[in-house]
Amino acid sequence: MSEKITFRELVELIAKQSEQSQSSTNSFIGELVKIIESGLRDSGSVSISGFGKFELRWMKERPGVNPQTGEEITIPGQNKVVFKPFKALREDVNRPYAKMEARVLDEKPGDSENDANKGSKHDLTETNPPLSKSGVSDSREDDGEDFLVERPNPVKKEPAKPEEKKKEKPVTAPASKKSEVEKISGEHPANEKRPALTPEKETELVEEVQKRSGMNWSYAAAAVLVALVIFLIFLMSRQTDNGSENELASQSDQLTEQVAPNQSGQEFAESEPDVEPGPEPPPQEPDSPPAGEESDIPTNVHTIEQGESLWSIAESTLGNPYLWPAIYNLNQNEFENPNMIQASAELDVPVFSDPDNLTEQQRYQVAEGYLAVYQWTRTNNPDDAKHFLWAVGVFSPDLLDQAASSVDQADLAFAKTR
Amino acid sequence: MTYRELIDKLAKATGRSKTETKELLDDTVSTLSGQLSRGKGVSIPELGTFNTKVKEVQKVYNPHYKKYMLVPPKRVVEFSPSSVLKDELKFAGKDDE
Repeated sequence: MSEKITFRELVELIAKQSEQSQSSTNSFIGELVKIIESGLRDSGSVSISGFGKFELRWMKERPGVNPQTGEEITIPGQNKVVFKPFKALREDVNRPYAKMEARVLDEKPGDSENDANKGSKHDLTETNPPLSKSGVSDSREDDGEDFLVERPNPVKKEPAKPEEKKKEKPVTAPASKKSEVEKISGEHPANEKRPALTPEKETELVEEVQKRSGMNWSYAAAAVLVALVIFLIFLMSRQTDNGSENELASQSDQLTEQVAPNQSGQEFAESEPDVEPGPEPPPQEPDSPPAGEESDIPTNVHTIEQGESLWSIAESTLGNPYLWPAIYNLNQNEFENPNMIQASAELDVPVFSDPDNLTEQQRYQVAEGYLAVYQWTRTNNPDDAKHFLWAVGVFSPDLLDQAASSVDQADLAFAKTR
Repeated sequence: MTYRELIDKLAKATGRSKTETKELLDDTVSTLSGQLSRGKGVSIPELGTFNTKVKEVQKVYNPHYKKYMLVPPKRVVEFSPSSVLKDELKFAGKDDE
């Protein structure tokens, strides 16, 4: 991510694109820089269309401390040059992350389980530090899996157990369907879990963000929508091809974005069903084709290159970086610390035909990986460990139940309540 | 300074027509943007360094909904001015210097 190109390379690229000589491009940029500088000096701001705006911002005099001597000093007022990218540039740069949406967490102050203090301070302090402390791969993973759940979720989470169901719902559950939906979910035993939220508020929320909690009532509506989405995606991906995910992403609306637009039609048909052994299969679940499960675990061999992490390998080979524990799980004999891998070592990498629609077995595999990571982290960095345990539950509630006796009870409670 | 003024001045300084200048500037900008959107940073002498940075997930409190929200990671452009530019403009517009 932090790679750079040299100025010379930039000049070459520009010269090529504009069909100018390199020297004239070079002097052009030199003039541009001079004019930006003089523009900043004269008017305090320079806008470049399609790019951004350079501005001078006056920083007032403020007290400071000399870090070397500890002596208190006054930092004199001075100008700071700031650059504000315009929307086009911001969107271009953010494209890899554009599909993610903000998500409302369950813990609101005064919630039945967490009282206000616990909800606010506790969680903030608990969840944030691990993000900054731990290594690149796991810090990202840690919070990331929240987002992971939401991408494939309308397809796979809906048929899951009540605990899982209440985590999320599609953004666009139409308000008109609400009453009908409420009736349906009223018959559903899971209904008890529904937190006290007024319907109005829910609709409001729903319009803006994806929710993870208290959404049983819309479960049936979600299922119907999911069926629609599946159909839409199938249609679209038949026309476009595997490779054209970007195009697909931009075409698709809010709805389809949630279902991770990069799944191709055939794969989708094969492995979509992901039947969960939930105690009560939802009454409204649209026709789900039989599960296409693979009994053996096909693997590839990947040779680690300089600068790669399990995270990046999972991203490039599995198609979803959050699945990295599956790789760790297969290679635990080779190395123990999931944050440290050796360049040029060889890894067994599982083959997931469709990372956005894992089969039950593949999910179990990933969950096992998360459990292994949990166990390692538990001994080496106990504070962060619970997040991995939570991920185990996300991928396979069964495994979490099986492992219940061998894990820290506080962590287990955390994993279950999220 | 607006984009139009920038082009006027640039055209004068480089002895090109305004259309040519605009084309060349657009090419420059699109090349730069292209590199940045691929996550590659560029240093431009005298001006500064453009780089991209991934902002991690943040957990924020939304007072309107009285709820916590997870804000997804995003990649942003960072610009750090060169020391030359910084020093030149340190007191621009002020009478201190």
